[in-house]
Amino acid sequence: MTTVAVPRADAPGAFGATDHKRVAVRMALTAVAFFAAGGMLALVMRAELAEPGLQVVSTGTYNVLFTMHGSTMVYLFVTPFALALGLYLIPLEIGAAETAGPRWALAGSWLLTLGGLSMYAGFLTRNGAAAATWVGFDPLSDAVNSPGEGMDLWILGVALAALGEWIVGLCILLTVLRKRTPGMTMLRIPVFAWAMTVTCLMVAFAFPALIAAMGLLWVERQWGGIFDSSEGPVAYQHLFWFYGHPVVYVMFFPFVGAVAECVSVFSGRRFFGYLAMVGSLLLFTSLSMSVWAHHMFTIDGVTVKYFSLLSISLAIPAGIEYVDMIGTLWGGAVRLTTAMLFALGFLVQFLVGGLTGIFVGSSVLDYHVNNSYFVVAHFHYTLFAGSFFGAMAAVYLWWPKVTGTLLREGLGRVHFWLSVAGANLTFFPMFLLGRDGMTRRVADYPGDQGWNLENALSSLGAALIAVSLLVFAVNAVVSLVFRRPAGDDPWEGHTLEWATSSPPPRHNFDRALPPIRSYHPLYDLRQGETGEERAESSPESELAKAGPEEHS
Amino acid sequence: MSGGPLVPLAWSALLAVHTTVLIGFGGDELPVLLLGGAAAAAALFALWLALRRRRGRGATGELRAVPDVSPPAALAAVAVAGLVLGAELGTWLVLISAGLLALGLGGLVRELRASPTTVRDTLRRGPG
Repeated sequence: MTTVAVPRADAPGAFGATDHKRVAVRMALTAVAFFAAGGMLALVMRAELAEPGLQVVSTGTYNVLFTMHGSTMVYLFVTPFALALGLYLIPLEIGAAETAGPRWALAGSWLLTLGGLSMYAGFLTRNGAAAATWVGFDPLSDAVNSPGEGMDLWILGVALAALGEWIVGLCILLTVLRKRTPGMTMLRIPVFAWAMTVTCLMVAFAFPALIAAMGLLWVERQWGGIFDSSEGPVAYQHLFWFYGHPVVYVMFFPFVGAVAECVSVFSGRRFFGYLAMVGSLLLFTSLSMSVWAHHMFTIDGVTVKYFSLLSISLAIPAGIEYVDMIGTLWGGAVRLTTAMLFALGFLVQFLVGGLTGIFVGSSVLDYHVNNSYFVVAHFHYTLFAGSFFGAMAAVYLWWPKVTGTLLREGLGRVHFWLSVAGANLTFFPMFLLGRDGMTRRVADYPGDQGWNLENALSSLGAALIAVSLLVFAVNAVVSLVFRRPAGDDPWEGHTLEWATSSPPPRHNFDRALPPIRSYHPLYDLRQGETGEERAESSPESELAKAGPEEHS
Repeated sequence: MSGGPLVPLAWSALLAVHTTVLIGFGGDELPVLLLGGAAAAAALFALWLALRRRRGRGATGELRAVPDVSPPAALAAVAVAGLVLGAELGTWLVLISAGLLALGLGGLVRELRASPTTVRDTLRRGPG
């Protein structure tokens, strides 16, 4: 599709620019600002837990801290950052001049920002911000147990943020499905684009459940009559977790896609097992929509066998994706750039999160670890040691494309190793704490339980994570102030975003696109295509080629 | 597979299979409704995409005007947020937001009505 720009130089671009790249950058920066706020809350929590006894905050304030920390990270940082990544890159990767529904994307980004501000506005109210967990469990969140405007502002803010994310997700999905450049079939879009496609399918069909849940919860708080019956709280949990489980995958599939791109580019090889990856992404995300009630195993009346069976089945597509990643690395000319280090860090650490997911996905084991620090460790290995590392891989990979400058590799390595040390020091002791019975969401613990060392280590690790982020901030500032021009394609990328200038022009491409005969058109171009190579580049022939020559 | 509609359709089929298994395991009404509803919605989405493609709307090569800056779209979003938050913060915010929404929607209508002319003008002028 050709898009014609209608210049409006007099209008405030910062407020209303429709360029998907500007909207995405603003979304990402807003998400980072919320991440800083959520990170501060986490540091205060870890300061409180560094030793037994109440030293820093009261129990009530601690409830607010973990509620707002979780809410910030899920609703306002990881999900928006993942969507911003897609909004920026997807039109570029599929050769489109613009996103689908640019005005809608713009509106969605503002709804998200205002939703976040509404959630934080609770701090300004008499009873303080929300304190009923990021889930907003009913009846904990009802008007009796959580009085005051803070909880209402949280509910409405979550609904607005989810609505904004839903709109942006739909724009990205429609961009992939309807705006691909000629020759870019669905089986020629990059792995990252596939990861965003399945992510946005989940956004499209799971997020409305959250909006509905928040709407009903607000009505319940005003007038009652919604979740009053004995089955009401269970109904709320079904509605919430129908969103709450897929959103975990929304928060990591875009980064799986980014890691796949990193692994492929920095191995100098085509992505191995493309078709299997596409199939596994579709299966993985459909399963992730179907296993929400494994968060409810300890509640009476849940179809435990079904949800446990499907939860364990998630290991199958996950295994396929790991085989594909390893297959791509195998025999490649691996370049250990910072982006690649973060990608490899993602693969190793996410495995810990995934394998411990089998514990909590198994109903029998879940009874033991439910509501313990084991669960906290599991999802932080998934979302921080996993997704966050994937996000950093994406940042280091695409920073040159977005800013036109290079990040410093030396500082990047310091950032990476501090992150590895910080993440594992913070979250691994939590497995031991959970195994030994320490309950999550508590501001204090007895000093004679043998939990002191693990908690002290965990708090030390959190401080280390903060230091690692400061190193990244320094790297970003140095990169932007003392600019080292990146050029159009500093990494020898495989996909179309590297076939345009850095940063890309308003309508993305100011030159002819290379021929698109596979999911790695620039790789094809670099190799110099012969007829034989073109035939080999088809996904169907890939397994046959890679097997005997490169994997024996 | 070159068509967009096949993706949500395939995904819908997978959700439908999971729903069937859930029913087989004796799942309760609400879980079956949620999962089955998502499967049905994804199928309808695929159908909508297919119908639009058949009509040739939004297809590759279609010419469409998009302003570089669209303050009315942002204003409409702010107004919707104000309407929602007004439910908690008071009628004053609802009224102000309703006014802003009217302004935003009016601006959007003006933008959309202006666009086709601009496209024709741009084409008449040619590139550069």
